[in-house]
Amino acid sequence: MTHRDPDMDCQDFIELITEYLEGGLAPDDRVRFEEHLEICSGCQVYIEQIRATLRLSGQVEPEDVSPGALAKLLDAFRDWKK
Amino acid sequence: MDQDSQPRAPSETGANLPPRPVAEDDLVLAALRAGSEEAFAAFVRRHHASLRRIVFGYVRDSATAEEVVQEAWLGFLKSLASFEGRCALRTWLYQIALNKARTRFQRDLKVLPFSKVVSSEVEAQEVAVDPGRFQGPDGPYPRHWAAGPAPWVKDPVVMAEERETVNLVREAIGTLPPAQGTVMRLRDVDGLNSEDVCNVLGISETNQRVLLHRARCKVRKALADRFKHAARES
Ligand SMILES: [Zn+2]
Repeated sequence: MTHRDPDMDCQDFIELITEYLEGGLAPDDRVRFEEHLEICSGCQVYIEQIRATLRLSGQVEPEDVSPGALAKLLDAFRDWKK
Repeated sequence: MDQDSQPRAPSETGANLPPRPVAEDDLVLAALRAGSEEAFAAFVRRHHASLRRIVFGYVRDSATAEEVVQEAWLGFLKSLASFEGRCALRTWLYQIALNKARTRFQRDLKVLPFSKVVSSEVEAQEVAVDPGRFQGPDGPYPRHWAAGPAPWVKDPVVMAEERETVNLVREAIGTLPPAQGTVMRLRDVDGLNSEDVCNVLGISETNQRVLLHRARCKVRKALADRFKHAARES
């Protein structure tokens, strides 16, 4: 097994993960990315952890709104309704 | 867990884009136009804190930020009748808030414009993973892992159900540099898509992606430091 130039290395792979997840990679880069993913256990762990990070971020709840601010806005909404 | 407010979970498979919040926002819009106070209160609870945080990035003062966001909600209500649905309702709301923040910013030129914050973060030389974790030029496979990342002790699905883990993620996002934190919050917490975020923040697609990448990698690192298998290093 050799890792000549056309193959992607791990450092490049890591820096391209977001572009890959965003669907922004050119088709041939995408192929090289997925080929690397296929054979590299370290990068498999890394990208899974990035996906887990996204899943966890989606669970973060919005912070509380102060009752005073909310009450003022609800008043404004009632006015707007009229 | 509250499943009503759900489409915030990012997509999990390869290269597909995160879901647009449009469908959910269409329901909100209809409810607001029908005069539902509950719908309005829920929409405020969902977005108020994020708006305040983003506006804070411009005005750098929490009282002013709160004031600007209140103004933005009033502007939002005023323009609701004329909203044509060309973007998601939340995107519209964020745009109104950002416009108000920019206006305020021009009145008070002491603060650093967001575009400067963005360019300084984007131009900083930065890699997601410490280069020392990879093999050097003399190794058998240069630029490949010397020792790969340690697996985590827990299943991520289990982790997502634990308050402690989610709090850790929230704190990690909170300590990101401002532009990175803003982009990650809008994308991964508030569920805006990349086009919306670029529009709202007035940044290029490329810069958005660089900021998002750096942000997500840092938050991953925070999780890795906490949940890596003790037997191996992070
Ligand atoms: Zn690799």
